[in-house]
Amino acid sequence: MSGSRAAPAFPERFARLRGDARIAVYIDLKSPYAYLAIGPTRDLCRRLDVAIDWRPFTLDIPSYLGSARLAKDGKTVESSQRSNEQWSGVRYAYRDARRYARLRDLTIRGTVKIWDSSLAGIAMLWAKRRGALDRFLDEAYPPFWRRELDIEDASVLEAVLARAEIDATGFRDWARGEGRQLHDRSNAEAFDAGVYGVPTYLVEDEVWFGREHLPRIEWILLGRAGRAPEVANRSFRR
Amino acid sequence: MTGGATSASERLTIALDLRSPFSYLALRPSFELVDETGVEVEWLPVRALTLSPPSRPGPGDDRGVRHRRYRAEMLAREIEVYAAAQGLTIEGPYRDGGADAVHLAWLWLRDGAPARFRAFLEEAFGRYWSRKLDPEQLDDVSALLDELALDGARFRHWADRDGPAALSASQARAAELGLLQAPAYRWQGELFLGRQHLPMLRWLLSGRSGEVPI
Repeated sequence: MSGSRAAPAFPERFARLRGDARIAVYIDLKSPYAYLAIGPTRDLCRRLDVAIDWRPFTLDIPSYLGSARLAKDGKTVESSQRSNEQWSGVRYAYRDARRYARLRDLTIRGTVKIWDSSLAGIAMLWAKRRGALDRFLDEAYPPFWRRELDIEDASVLEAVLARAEIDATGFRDWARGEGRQLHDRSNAEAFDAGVYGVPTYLVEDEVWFGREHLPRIEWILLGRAGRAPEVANRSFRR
Repeated sequence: MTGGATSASERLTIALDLRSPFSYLALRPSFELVDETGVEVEWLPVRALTLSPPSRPGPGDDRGVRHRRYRAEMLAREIEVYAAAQGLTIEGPYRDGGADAVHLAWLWLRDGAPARFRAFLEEAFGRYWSRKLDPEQLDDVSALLDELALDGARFRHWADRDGPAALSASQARAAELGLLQAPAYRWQGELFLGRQHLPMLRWLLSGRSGEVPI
């Protein structure tokens, strides 16, 4: 690793995964960091007049962070297969997400369990096919993070689609068949390429995990002019 | 740097580990933050977990193993790209061993010659990541201090006599503050892991004025 080198080579598979989109962003409803990233990502891309290809990526949290479930009071740990280090990391992540959320009047409550958000991912694909994914995200993220949505319940997701003014007729059947297959295939393709968390950004040949890389993504989208910026959780609202 | 009239809660604590490439990446931006805000800082050397290289793919790899490999690959890319952006040389981000001799000089200068502290830290990080400094050898670190027109012999005397206690107190202080990773920042009881929080710290230190971090 040397400061004299130009941009390093990113594996070609990331550019292939991005496809025709100028920027593709993987998100999951159950990730507070994905929630926090949506606003600034939109601000940046609106300013640069770049369309965002949002893609659902259902995190398999127990595979890397252990599993846990809280009791109904939302505070007591009912069951846990997490190490102290994993707990410490999870607690810090929520504290961190909350302090940024507060600055934007967003509510992030701790979850009581690790949700299977695949059905929500399928609903994202349903909304995306109807050109209304942004509306769906706006109707789904805030109530989910206020603990008002059971995202494993198809009827709850149908109601979210309805609030986003998206016709949900046939959603349930689609979610059991073609939608599920599409979701699982897209998830597997992303993971096989090396996407492991959200938000993950694909832009040109580069891949980045976390909204702190938005300054670099802006720099890339603007043609890499001038000095490459540092990582920073900063605003893109102008 | 460690202002006598400033209470601990008004000081920003910055925890770095010489052996952490992310600490090296945070060094210059952290000094810039200090320069811009004029905040009193307690610079704390810590022993963070060192990075592990990505594992080699194997036929029995489960999702967790692959996840950790992808994460390690992403971190390696991040180090390479952002080191290049800052014009830094990072030769081999995966290092074993300690850094006690450098961390001792860090404490000695921080408390005894704060005006020269920054120059030493920049030089020590630069040489270590170019493989030109053994951070466990007191002789090497004393020689570096001499090169910087500091008193290597005096440091050596202090390190032999008071060093172990100073290092131990410093490690206890890091543990007490929950600063076990690097780079990490602590301001008014709040912990921030990683240099991506510098805009937030800048905003807090400026009385919550200016651009709001996201």
